[in-house]
Amino acid sequence: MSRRGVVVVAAAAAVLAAVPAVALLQSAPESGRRGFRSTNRTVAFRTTPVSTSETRFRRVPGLDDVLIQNRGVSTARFSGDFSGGPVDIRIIRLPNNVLLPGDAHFAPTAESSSFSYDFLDPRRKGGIDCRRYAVSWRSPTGAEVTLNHGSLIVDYHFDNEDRDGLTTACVD
Amino acid sequence: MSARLSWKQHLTLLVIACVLAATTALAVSASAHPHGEYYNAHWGQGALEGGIDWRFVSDFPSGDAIRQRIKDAAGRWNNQNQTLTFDYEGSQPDYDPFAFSSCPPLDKPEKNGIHWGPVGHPGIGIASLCTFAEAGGDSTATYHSFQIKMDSAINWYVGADGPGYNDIDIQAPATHEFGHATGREVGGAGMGHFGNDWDVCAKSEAAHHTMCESVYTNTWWDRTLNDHDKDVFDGKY
Repeated sequence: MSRRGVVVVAAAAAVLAAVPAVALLQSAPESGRRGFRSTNRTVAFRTTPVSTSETRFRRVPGLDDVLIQNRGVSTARFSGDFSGGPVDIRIIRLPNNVLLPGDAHFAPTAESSSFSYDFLDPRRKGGIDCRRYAVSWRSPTGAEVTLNHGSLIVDYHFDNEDRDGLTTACVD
Repeated sequence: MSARLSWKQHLTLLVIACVLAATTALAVSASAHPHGEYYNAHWGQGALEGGIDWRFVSDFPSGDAIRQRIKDAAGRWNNQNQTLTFDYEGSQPDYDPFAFSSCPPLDKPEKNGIHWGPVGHPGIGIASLCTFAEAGGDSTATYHSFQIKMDSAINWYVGADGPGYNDIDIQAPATHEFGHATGREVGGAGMGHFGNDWDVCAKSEAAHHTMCESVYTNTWWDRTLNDHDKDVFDGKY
């Protein structure tokens, strides 16, 4: 085998070794659309202020464990009224899956303190699923930001029975 | 180094390639499937001296069958030869109702109760663990009590034999909640669960584990513990 051959075999080995890891990476599509028949809605809300100056994403208390049972895609809408510095908002499906299209950014002012943003969980799984959603936020500048009140609404297609007539239930 | 390799060198390179691929696959598999690293020995900080006493809260239905199914659920964890057991205080009266979401006073560390009340769709059972305030973060916290609540909105199946097609079995979710009460409330796919899309939650009696994110309610399957339910618990206490 030539030195080129050695290089080829080595490269093949590296590729072979990398395949399982790459297969696990989930890259977000550049664009897309999803349709589903929504049958259920779950709402979480908080009416008292909570603040953060953390620059790392943290879950928002009270909006951090919305449980659904469904099959297919689901959507989530966050709405909030803010004061203080700018804020980044994301919705995660626990443990750590960030919903599409990605983080929302909002800078509250005296004239504009409320905003709403829609997120998509594109997960298309064959079976019935139990999913937990949480609003996560951070202060991108480190300046304190306050969520005066807010809500998380999740729309989904409830399902708990599979084709064989077996039923499941979510448990906390 | 010669410009050409012998067949032995070819073989060596191939073996290296295969080992690299297998090692990576195993590492990926392990990271997606960390059965044994979910929680520490929260009860007694690894020095638990006896079982954990529990009672029903008095608003829990009084029927012998429904209560027996809860005792059976606790018994699944008691049969694992661990120091931690859930000991039903049958000779004591039920607890007077107290809020599920509140932790009992620290001077009453044995107030572990099985509650009855709304859980909230789609959940049907929930467990809550109380920690000593001074114990630190989630990974090292010491528990002083646990609470379990079964959904009062459900017409539960409480028979000793297997549930049928339209039944919603109470023993399977109760077994799951006692699993959380062993200290398993963080990690995994969230809250100490096996992810529903993991192989240990595949749809079969042999595969589906009780500590998956959901339980089967019209089968026997989740009344009993499977290998990794036991593995994670084994050796903690």
